Amino acid sequence: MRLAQPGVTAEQKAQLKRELYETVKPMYIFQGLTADIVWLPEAVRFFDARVDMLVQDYKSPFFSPRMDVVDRSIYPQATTKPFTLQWPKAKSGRSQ
Amino acid sequence: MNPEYSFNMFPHPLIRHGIQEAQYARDEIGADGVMGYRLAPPCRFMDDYVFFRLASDPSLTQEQIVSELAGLLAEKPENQKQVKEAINTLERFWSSHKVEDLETVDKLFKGVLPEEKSKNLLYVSNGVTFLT
Repeated sequence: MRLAQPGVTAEQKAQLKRELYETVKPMYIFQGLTADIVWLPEAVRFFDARVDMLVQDYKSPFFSPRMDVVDRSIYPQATTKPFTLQWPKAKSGRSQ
Repeated sequence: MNPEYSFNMFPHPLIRHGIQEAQYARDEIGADGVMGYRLAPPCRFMDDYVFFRLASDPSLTQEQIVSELAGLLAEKPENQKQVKEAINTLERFWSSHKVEDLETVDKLFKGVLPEEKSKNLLYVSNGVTFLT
């Protein structure tokens, strides 16, 4: 989260990533990110790339702050009875 | 939402949103059932619990769900109170995106960890630490 804040410099990002790597390393659940590659310099590079992807995900519209209430007024009325869609709309004089 | 986003590995309870969707499916659509796409990293324990409880009973309130979750994550009553506060604050974080909220959650979970045995609590706490 701190990495995704505006105004974070490249040096601060590198420092935060180093701290994150050291924090995560002993954790059981993120071993796939830290321990799969045994050569440390390479492992850190892959970890950095994964963190960049996570930051990119976080900034995507899918994770933008959510509205508490979703406006469903544009949704069609739900029905269990089948009906024929009028789309595209039939031109005048032409039967569907 | 694309369930394959790597970001989805983190604790993301979506309680209010889940309640709304469950009640919409029950009241507006009249659905007989719902289907969830479940990814299973251990730190998503809360997310899965919220979804499956609401799928089984859409009338549950946030208070009820959070109380049940806190009871599963922490054994001691005094710690359950702190875990409930952490879950509610985490829920608020996903609406506010305020770093302070997330830091509060991290402290609350870490505060009860030494006295609790639940691995799920440890994984959720680790997930929040990573997210912070």
